[in-house]
Amino acid sequence: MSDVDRLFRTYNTALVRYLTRRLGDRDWAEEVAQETFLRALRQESLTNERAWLFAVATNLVRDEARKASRQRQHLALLAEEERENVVEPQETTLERAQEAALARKAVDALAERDRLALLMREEGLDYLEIAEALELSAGSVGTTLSRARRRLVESYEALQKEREQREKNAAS
Amino acid sequence: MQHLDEGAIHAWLDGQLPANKAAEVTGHASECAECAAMVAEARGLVVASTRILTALDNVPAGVTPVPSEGLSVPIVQRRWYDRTDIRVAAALLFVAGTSLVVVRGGRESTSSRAMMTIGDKAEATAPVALDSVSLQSSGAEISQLNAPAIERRGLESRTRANALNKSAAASAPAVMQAEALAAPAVTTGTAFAKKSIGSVEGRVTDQDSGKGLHGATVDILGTPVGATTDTAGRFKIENVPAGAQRVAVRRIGYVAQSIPLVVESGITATAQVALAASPTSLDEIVVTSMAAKVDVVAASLHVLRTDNPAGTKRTVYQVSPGVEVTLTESPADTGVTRDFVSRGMRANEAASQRSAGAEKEKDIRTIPGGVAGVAGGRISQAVAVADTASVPLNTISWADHGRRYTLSGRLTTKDLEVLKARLMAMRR
Repeated sequence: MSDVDRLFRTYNTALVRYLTRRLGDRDWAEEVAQETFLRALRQESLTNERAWLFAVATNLVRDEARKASRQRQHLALLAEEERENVVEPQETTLERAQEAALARKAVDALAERDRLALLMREEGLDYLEIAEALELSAGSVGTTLSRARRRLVESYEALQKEREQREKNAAS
Repeated sequence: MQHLDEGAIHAWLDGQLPANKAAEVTGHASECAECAAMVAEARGLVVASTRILTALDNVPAGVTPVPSEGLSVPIVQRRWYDRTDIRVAAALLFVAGTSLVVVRGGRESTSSRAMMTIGDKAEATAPVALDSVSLQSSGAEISQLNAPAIERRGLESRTRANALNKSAAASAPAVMQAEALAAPAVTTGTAFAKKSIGSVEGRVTDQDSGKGLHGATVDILGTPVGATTDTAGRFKIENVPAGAQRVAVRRIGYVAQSIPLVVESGITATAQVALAASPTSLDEIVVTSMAAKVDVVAASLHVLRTDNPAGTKRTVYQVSPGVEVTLTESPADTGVTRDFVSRGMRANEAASQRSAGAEKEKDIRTIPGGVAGVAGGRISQAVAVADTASVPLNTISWADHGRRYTLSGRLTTKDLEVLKARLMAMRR
């Protein structure tokens, strides 16, 4: 097995999940992950491969986001058409979709650095790797994560209350 | 030893502290009730955030994401003076004006010096404009007029950096390089924006004792900035947008408070907040379950995935198509943890007792998403899944041979107990 095969097999699942959570689109996440591995292929050696892969994937997302800003209007129209054609799989219940929508809103409400640190930690990166990928000091990762977790939960909780209130109002 | 700060607690729970430091934290947490409550709360936050993020995995492919705050590039709105013809006309007008000043300068040296002073100020605030547009070498109004253009140039510079990155079939260092190339232009380009940012510092105290409260969350409402107080109750928040703001302060066991504050650009505003202890009360807890009908006794369990978030081992099993359960395993490390777990296991009982009119217990709240959560103040009490019918998740927790286990899924607690027995049997 070549080295890139090993990298792919070792990190692809975690990287795609990280990117999916970050982007909200699995196709896009897989594209970015593949591009990340292609770039890894061009490297002679990687000292801390996991931190490197997550850092490069994060930077690629930023680049993509800039491009996307120019194409956003066009994509919004396409997405609107696409939504009309999408057939949800049976197991994607309304509750799950609502849960995912709330989670997405709560995650988007986080500051960028907090969000990335939390998503990386969830994929098993240790504090040193997160610090390297996000150019933070290792000592500040704990504080960043504690803030991110608290805000995520509080934000989710607030959104959930809002939704419940809306449902109550609609029912009455 | 001083009280634990929240960052250290999370680092400890994540297994990221060096052994000697971890031992100190373990010792302190077992002796200090206040820190024990914070540890229990932090543990709940770790589990809850993991569950919330797991919900993001239910994403169909081919969906265009909603632009998020961190992801999107700020869109520079096109203003009337962004039109090329107007800018050319402004430039010509400026040249004519400058020429007039220079011609008069020979005769009116005093007024010329005054203009130079204005020009110097403009140079100090917008160096990029001076480098790239020579016509703007003086005149504060013209420099300000072109501020949006400067911002746009910053973005264009980043775009060029990206193009460079792509054309070079860039490797990661190239990405970094592109970012680095872009950074100075962006920083300088937003120099005007930075003028409207200030900071807030202050102290959060206990209203009764006057002592500083550590671990309080301080947020500037409507912005993403905030901070957590240190052991002396002090905090400082940078990058606060100038203007009238509200500072919200929250801490478990205290009544949340928000105060108005005016933040001026480049100036540090001060906020002193005294929090009153909260008379603890228990909200009604409703335990609901909308479990799928699955024969958990006969169902074959397939491992879908395993990972290790927050120093735990997590295994997701498929019980039947569309029905999954998650088993989280972690060391039952301290007395605090054992306390937390055992209370967590009693949570359903507590809820039923309360519904039967039993005396209210203190300060319990549910963590969203059907997660075993904690409440705080000085009490560590866990609630095993009490959520609305829209999130039909249940969780059970138990300890076995020095390990702590949590099993959650969209099943009844009875079914989860059956699965627990099967899973533990498989492990033996």
